[in-house]
Amino acid sequence: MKRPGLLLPFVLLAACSDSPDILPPSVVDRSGYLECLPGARSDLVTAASWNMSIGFEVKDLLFLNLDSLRVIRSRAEKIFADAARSLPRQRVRLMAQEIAAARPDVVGLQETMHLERNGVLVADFLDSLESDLASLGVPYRMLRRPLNGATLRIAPLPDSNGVSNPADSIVMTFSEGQALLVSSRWTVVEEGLIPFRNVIPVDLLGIKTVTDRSAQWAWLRDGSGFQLEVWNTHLEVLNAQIVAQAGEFKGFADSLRAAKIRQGFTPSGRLFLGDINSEPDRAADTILSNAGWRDAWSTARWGTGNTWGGGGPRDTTRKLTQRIDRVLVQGACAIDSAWLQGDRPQPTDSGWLFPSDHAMVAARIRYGIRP
Amino acid sequence: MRRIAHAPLALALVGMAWGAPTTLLWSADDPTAVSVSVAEGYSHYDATELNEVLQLLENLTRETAGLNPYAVSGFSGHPATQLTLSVRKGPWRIGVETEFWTQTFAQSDVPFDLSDNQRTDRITCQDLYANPPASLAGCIQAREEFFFLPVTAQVSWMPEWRPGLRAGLGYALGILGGSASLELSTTYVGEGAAPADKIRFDIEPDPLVNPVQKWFAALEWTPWTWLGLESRAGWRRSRAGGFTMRNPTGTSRVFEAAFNDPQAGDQMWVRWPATAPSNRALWIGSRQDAQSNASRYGHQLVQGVFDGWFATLALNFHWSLS
Repeated sequence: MKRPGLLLPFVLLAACSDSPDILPPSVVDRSGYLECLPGARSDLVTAASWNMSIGFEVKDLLFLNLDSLRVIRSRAEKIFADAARSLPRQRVRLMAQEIAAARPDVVGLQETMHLERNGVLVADFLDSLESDLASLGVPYRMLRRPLNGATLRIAPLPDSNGVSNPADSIVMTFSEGQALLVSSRWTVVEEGLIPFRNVIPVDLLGIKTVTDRSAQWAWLRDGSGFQLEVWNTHLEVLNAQIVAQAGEFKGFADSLRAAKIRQGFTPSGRLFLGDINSEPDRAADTILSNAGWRDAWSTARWGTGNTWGGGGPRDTTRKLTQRIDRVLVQGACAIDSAWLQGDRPQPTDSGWLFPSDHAMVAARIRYGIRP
Repeated sequence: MRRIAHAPLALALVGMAWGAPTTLLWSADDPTAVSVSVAEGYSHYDATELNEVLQLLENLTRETAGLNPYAVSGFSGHPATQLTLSVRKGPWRIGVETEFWTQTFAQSDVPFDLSDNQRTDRITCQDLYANPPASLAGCIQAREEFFFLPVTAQVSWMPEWRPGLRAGLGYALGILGGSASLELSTTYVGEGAAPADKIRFDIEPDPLVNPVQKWFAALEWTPWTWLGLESRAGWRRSRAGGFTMRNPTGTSRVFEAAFNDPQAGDQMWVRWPATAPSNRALWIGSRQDAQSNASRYGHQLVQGVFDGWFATLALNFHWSLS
């Protein structure tokens, strides 16, 4: 005898569960306007986006007291201390392990930091990652785009007699930017970088500059002739700029694509990887979705899919509270699956450690038709 | 001209037609008098674009600092004081009127906390002072002052329909000059925070002087030959656009961060991404910068449209010359 009422508690439990379930591959996507045609060609791409986390807040410099050498030195020391505390070498090793486990075809990386103090290397995320991935047997070609490069010279503090020791000077060499990891599947046809125009002015110890936000792009082709247009970006930290940059992105991405098609490229699929510093349904998210970009996570998964949370990488109690990282697609007929990696602390010689303050969001995407 | 602007004029005309025993246009025997008039009243306008600017400022603070107590109510007019010097001969009066538009807006204790970009809870300055974040937070005191000076040459025709009672119509043509000023004082909180700063600058229309026209109806009761009480209402057409930042003094880190380090000579624009026209935002920059960003953004120079009705009550002092 059928007793559907018995199923009700399970249905309710499933509906209330925070742990998402993978939806099976579908022939019709959620919006219903694309489908993977049986027997037609489809190309599978695994893509991921990961903000590597520089380990300290650059935006802390925005309203710093630049008239006080003591404050400047104190903040510089804090930056070095925070960077050291975040165990960059160990974190990069964990990131390499996660990437090697997933073996994505392409990975968009943000906050790829290089930091030196007085000429001594504190961290170089990309060199370390490249080396770790090679030692794990999964070499990637790395398309590096360092941004926000600066060398800051901070004078020593005078002692009680007003005498300064030049040896106490601090020279901070810093850059952070983006990089694309491209697997051996691809030939890089062309790549580039398009800077955003709406950025935030900053005063770096008397040097007036702007935050160097940009969108990195690459045109990839695999052995079968499948071509993939990839974007990797990290939008600004303030909402007014985030919204403006999302609008800029839509414009120049479509413009570049049209120009490349006129040059004879035939892109089969489009991919957006990035940290957009904006949660779902906020203005930036809406601009991108109105531009035709589909969110891989929300297409394939239920659940929050949070990718960022406050707290340090050694804080094992920290929770991911916001979904600000995205894998977006155009021209895909199905998202086979989407998942997070690096969202749990891992044991290291220095104790339990998160690879980053962001999780890596990854998706397996089935491209079926041209966008 | 809006339909409502005709109402007082039409009423005045009907009133005159009802009571008109005779119509005097001109007579060389008409007495001549000099008049000084002091009036207090109200000038109304929609100022749609300026109100949008205020709204966008509110959006900016909300977007960058979470929900906070800064809320704009917009403005639709202001009290106006008028001083007129005129000469009257019979029903005709010619004169020069100077009008003073002044208004002050103040927003006190506007907090910002950029350390939490996705803030959804309301914060106050008291919260920030009590628990200062690491940095990136502070409190703003803002004060805006408007001072505009329309000066018009006027001609009116106001026959004496009853003893001591004049009514008629008039027209004024002149110039509108003046400027606004903005003062922004910011206190930053948190360890190693920047010292408090203050910026003040003028916002001048470009061109500085703009035309203004008025059409009005007036009714004057003169209980004594030397004193009259006049009520006047009408429609004004005046615009002042291209608001330009001038004479900045001081600095403001938060202002520079919000508006990308504006310089003297930059103008106020409403800007939107070419691909997302509904996402309008306030932007301060030069026309050259606007043109160089035209491939990505649309720009609209903010205009001050001060078209609207006005109504005043005046005391007129007359000195007979003949």
